[in-house]
Amino acid sequence: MAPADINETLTSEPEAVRRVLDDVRDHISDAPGFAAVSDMSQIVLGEILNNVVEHAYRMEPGHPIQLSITFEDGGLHCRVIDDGVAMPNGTPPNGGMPELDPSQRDELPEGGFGWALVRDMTEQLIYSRRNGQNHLEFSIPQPES
Amino acid sequence: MPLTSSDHDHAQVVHVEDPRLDASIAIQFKEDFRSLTAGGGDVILEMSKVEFLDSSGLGSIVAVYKALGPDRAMALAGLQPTVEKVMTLTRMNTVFAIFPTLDDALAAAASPHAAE
Repeated sequence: MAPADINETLTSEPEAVRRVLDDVRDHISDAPGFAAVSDMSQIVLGEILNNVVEHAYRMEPGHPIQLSITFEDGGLHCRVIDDGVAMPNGTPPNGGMPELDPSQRDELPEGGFGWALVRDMTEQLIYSRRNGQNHLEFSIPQPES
Repeated sequence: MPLTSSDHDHAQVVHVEDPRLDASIAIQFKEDFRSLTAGGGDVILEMSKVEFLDSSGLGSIVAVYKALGPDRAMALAGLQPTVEKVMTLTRMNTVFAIFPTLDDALAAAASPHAAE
């Protein structure tokens, strides 16, 4: 039997994101067979929820974010809904990994890694804007063993 | 205070005391690191307590590395698997010398040429 779904509503503060990530980790650690996606889900959900806080809500605290996670055979299916501003151009960033040259210390990138990590660890990422809300759905597949 | 510091013969060790190096503490991390390391010398960032590193936390590590200036080395030690995964995926493992334990990093600092 699949583990019970996770449904959380949080508000738009980094500390709230942090608490939800702890909750999610505790839930997933109780789900047999999902240990391998637990680490990836921490990274992916951290990036996506913090993006909502920073960009959709522009660091204004107190706004709602809904997170739901269902356990599927191949991994986790996640949905994040918020009432913030839409993604620029109506689409999530493509998220190529920033170029870096180790010999150019002054030029090393300090940002641009978030969406690259998300794109790397997710599949079937779909964004839509409906009724003034951002809907983001994606799967976090089990690593191939 | 998410950081503490200890002095060793060949490097200063900065210990991250928080299990999450993420957006919620990235700014404080940068400020505390800069004040702790104002004295000069090479630095080892000891991360064995860090269970989670996100892109903001990674950006803050890069920022303090750049702020040290061109003549001061910075190595990373004690990375947990999730942190190491982020370092590998972003190719930051090609920028920083990464050691399994603090002892390994200290040994390399004591004989920098043997590690090359």
